Amino acid sequence: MQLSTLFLGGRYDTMTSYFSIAFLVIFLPVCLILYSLLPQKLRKYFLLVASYGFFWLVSGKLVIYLLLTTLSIHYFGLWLDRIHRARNEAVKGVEKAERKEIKKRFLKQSRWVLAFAIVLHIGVLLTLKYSPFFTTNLNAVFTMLKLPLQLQVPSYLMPIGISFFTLQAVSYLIDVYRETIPADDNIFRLGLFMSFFPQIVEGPICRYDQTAQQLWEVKGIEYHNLSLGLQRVAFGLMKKLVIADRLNPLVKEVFANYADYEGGVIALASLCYTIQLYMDFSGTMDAVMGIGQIFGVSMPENFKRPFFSKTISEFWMRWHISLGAWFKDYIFYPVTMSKPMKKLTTAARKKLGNHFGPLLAGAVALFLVWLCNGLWHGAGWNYIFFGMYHFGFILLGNIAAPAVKWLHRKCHINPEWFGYRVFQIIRTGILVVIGEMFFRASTLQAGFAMLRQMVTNFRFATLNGDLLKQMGVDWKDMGIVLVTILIIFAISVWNEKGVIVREALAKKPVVVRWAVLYALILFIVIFGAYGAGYIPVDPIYANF
Amino acid sequence: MEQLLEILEDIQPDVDYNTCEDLVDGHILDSLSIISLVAELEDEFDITIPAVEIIPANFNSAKAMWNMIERLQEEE
Amino acid sequence: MKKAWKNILTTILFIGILIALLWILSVIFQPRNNTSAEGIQDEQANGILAEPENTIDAVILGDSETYCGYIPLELWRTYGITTYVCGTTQQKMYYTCDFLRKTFETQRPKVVFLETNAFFRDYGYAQIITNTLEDKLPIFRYHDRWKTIQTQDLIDDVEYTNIERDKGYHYYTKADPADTNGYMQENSGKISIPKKNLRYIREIQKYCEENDARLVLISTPSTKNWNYKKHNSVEELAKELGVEYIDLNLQSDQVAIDWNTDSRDKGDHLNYNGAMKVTDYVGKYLKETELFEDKRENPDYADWNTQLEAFDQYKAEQQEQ
Repeated sequence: MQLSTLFLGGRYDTMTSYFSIAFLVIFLPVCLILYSLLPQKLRKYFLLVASYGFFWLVSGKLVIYLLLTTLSIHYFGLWLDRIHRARNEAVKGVEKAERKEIKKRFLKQSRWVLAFAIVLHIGVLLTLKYSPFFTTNLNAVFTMLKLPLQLQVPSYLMPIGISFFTLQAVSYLIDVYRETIPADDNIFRLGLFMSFFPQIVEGPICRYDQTAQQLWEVKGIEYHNLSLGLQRVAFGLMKKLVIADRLNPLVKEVFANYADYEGGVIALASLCYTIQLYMDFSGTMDAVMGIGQIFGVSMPENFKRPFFSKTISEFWMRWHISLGAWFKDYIFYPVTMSKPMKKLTTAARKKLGNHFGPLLAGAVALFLVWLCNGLWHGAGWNYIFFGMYHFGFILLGNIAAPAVKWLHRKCHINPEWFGYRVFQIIRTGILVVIGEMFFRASTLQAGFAMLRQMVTNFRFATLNGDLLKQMGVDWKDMGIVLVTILIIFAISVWNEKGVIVREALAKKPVVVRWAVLYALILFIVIFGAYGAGYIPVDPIYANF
Repeated sequence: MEQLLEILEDIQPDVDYNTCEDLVDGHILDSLSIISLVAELEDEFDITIPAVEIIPANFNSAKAMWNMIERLQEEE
Repeated sequence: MKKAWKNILTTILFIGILIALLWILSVIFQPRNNTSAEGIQDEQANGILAEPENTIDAVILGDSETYCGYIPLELWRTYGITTYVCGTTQQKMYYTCDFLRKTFETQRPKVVFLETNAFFRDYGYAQIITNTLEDKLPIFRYHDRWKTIQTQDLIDDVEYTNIERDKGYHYYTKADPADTNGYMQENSGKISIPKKNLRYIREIQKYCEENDARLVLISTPSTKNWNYKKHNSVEELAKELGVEYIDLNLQSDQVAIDWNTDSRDKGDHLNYNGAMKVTDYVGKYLKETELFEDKRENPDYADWNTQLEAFDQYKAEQQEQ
């Protein structure tokens, strides 16, 4: 197809990245121009068409998954609505005692419908993503038990963003079931909510009541939004091009050949990976939010200065926020608020008091959440370990909280003291970096081997110019990474104080504004790690 | 309302529940406190609080919690 | 309405100043010499920029097949004709087109060989956009020089002085035998040449015509990359363009490639042995055009003899190892 070859081949050509030339220079500008030229009432439909077009350009025929998912939740949502309406009719003018019974009956019905729909959608995701992993492990068990049975390991093509839009679909259904929102009878509005092209590749995972109506009421592009949106895209571009891509050779080399490197160097590579991951993912989010802003649509933030976190618990309220929120609202609370768990909590509170009592039900729910979180990222033992690793520290943090408070009093440490907070931030950072090392390691065994190296051989003796060259970088590269991190740090501090830098900038005189913008653009042009000799990092979260 | 304030003081002391309006959004009440809180509230006020009610709008302030409690009591 | 005009004008002004800034940076970052130390890409191919004006008789453009298969110094030794290999890895046709124009800024080759392997290489429009951007605003191509730029660069003019000894050829002697199963089996089918490339090839043909150069399409022997279907497509194209086509894959009587000893990588590219045979053929061809003088005694071309001596010495050193 001529149209798809428009975006063929090459490193900067695949549209999986919102920073690719194909997207930023061809697709997006064309979209913006057509969008602006169209009459107001057609704009939302254009966005829907453009979003499906984008999906098709990235995943081709697999767009059918998105279409079927949307049709499915549309149908199931309306079914649930019908059950609710029937229930409301049935309880009219009925005695209070009977009402409860009737409600129970209809609740059972809607529960079955919801369960079926969820199993259907999650089942598709599980099959596509996890059946190879499951089969491989099953085969390993067979081998271990010396059974002469080996299953063929299936391999499926996955549409882009399936992990994201499946969760979004399930959240819609649950919200309709809970009657938080009415079912959407407008298939196009629902379709746009599910497919909006800036969020399809890496999220954020949006709730229906957050974006559906906003998208459906999109208006013409305002100059202020266009300007600020593009600035945010540029900021994300800086994070990706100057830092994430620059650290790519170092990360790839050390993680592929960790046995050749000292523990200290492995630690450095893990730190660099964590930085790369943050810059790539949050940078992409900057582009996503920026593009949303151009259209006047505001989506929920996925990052809130995660490295300012003082505990692992806090970290997950600042990193990939929409995923954490999804797990909290659709797994953690439903599990802890289920009848058996409530009974457990009540019994436990009697024996263990107010702090440790709820921790039992909480721990069960947390375990489930973190198992799902780990698995959501990938079908692999290292991902499961990653989930359990963070589960462990969060649980530990909660169990130890009273003891820590006691320690503070005993040692006269004021937890608000700046020095203590710095200690907490660094400690959390180290734990996160180790967790990310496992996340990136090629296998779980590799992860443990790398950890062992780090702990037993924490040296930097070999770190010199030659070693850096072997890892694909030089001192100047590291210097620029440091400088850029400092810039981003400064902006993060502002953000933490509630300042939105580009809005503050918009209030400054034109000369200042343009000077800053030119500085940003030229900084990216000169110091970006692009062009001959560089391999851009594949959007890390696009594979989930 | 006083019972509610007592319960809150017990679960998470040192907070001015009369004025604070971002108990959830400001991470003053964390998810484990909420679990405790819900158990207490269900006990004390003879209501059932399902997961769908665990939203910031219902738990961000003592007032919001009280409104939820009254509403759930009526629905029973 | 007024606001809209103000916004449009502001945007145009912003972009205008931005382009001006990028242009200034491009001037600053432009490599001052054609060496990779100075930041030039494809140092060996770009050696042609330093060759004295109007001294190159023929050039060959294309991908890695060219710099593995044609040895300008050997051709010089036997025929006294000056050739240059303007070949780069995985060359795309838009790059070929650009290189040709760049060559003609300081040279007037009378024969232009166009290696055909690159005809079948496809790529996205995004890469064309990238390449055009890098051409118009070289800061995008040379931005990495921030690491190596000296204050001296700001003063110096651009002056190309790096003469490549091997004139674009990459010397390699090791042999890795090729599997000749099915090699050049007769077939009436065709593999289509991407439309984008057809456009560039036609552009190249027109350009050669306008500049008095004879365009010759040539296919270097390769078991991995060439087959009869491709041959048919190129033959058809050559007829349409009215240019000569030499398929060395079908000239085994004149270019007797021994696939056990003449390939460096199982039939993908030729090694020095294979290249010698191809070079001899091309040298003969150029001699028979009667367009060129034998300049081996010409003092203006003495440097070629110097480079040839250096090459021979280098080869001897390599043999010893």
